[in-house]
Amino acid sequence: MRKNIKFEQAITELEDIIEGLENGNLTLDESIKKFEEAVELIDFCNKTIEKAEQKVSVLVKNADGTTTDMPFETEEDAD
Amino acid sequence: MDISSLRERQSTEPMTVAQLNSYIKNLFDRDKLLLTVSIRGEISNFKRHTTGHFYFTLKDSESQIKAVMFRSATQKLKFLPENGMKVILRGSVSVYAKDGSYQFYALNIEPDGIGALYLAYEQLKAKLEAEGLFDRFTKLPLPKYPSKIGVITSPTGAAVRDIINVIRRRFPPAKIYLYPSLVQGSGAEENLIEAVDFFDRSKLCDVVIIGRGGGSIEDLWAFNSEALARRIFSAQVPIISAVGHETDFTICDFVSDLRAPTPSAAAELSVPDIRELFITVDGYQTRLTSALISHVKLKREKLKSIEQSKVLKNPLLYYENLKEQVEDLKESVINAYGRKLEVTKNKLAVIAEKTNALSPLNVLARGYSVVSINDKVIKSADELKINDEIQIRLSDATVFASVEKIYTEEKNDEKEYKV
Repeated sequence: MRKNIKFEQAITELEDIIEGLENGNLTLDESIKKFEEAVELIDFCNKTIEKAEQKVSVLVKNADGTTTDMPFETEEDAD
Repeated sequence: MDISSLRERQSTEPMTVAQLNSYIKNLFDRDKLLLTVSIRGEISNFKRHTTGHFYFTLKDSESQIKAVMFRSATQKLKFLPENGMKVILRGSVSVYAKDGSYQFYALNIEPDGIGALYLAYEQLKAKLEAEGLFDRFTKLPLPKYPSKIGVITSPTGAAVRDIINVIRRRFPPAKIYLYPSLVQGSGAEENLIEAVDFFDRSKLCDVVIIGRGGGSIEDLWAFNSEALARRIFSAQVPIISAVGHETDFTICDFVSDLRAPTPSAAAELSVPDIRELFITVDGYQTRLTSALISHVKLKREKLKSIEQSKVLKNPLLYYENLKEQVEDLKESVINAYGRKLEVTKNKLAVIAEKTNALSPLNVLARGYSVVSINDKVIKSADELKINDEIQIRLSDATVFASVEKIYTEEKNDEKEYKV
């Protein structure tokens, strides 16, 4: 699996692969290769959307003008 | 020269123009009413001097008065006065001693009927719209599945909480970066611009939400800033604006790539619903599998139809066909040959018959005979002499004889005898 692939890109590629398979113009070898690729993409998509730990950071300005992000807690979190 | 000394002067002594104007100015300036006065009228002859001062005339249906507003006051104005605008001026009336004319010194101009802020908002809106800052084609598309979302708002208050809650519920994989900013009062405008600038330059996020909860037009005023509007317009990161309630519209809303009616709505618009996404990906899985299955099925059917073809099923059939063809050809060759033979035979028979008719034997059979001497056929009497030994060929025998007399056949039927 390629690294740094974006979710959006993965979805687009999935759509392309499925369309290609549905059109049926591929050789058997090609179609199996594409299928394997698509399975990996689906796996990636599922993992991405299952990563439920949401992070909220607050950007804090440093004295030198740079910015650091720190965990942000709303009042609700504090309760 | 002070007033008291002027009053005490001999009335016969003429005054200078400056002295008189100065005296009159003093009278004006001591009047309590003229010191703080409000006046209603319509602006005309409006001139905005390069120094920043405004010069204009305020008139009503009956009368008019010259007016001036100095830079120190014009700077604080939210809107730009225009000719024909109905306004209420607040200020004082005094004399411009140099010209000998009195005029209104305005400290503030208030639009008559509508609020100054509202007018300022309308003016800026019209200006930016004319410049094309709100044009639809300049809007950036929002990412469908953002992984990082920037939020510019107050770190306290309902807006930030609503945004976080909605994104958390709809799309947990997204990370939220909050840039805490003042959203009203002094410093808010600069703070908001700084925040937009940060997200645009750092490229930290895929999309940015800028906004705040509801409030009065004064509370929302920082979002009507021209400088903020221009910074948002030039930003390369897509920006969703959510200022106040559904009924509140700000310049920030118009110039942003998308206007959301409320902060919660902005959060909803910024991310997809994860439940729908699960369904989508699930659907892909199903489609993918069935696509592959049907693909393989298709190939298998193709293979089957190839297997079923006659040649593969009975390879000898091909040769048998050929053999049959050869046989057929052979037969037709033979037939053709036979027919040709027949024709030839018939032809031959005809020829034979014709030949037969011409045979001398046949002539002999009809009673004719051939005379020859030593196998030389005699055709004329000239070839004969008396006593020549001749052979007479009949149809069934040869007679040996000798010539005794010769009659020659003449034209006049006279017969000449050769003796």
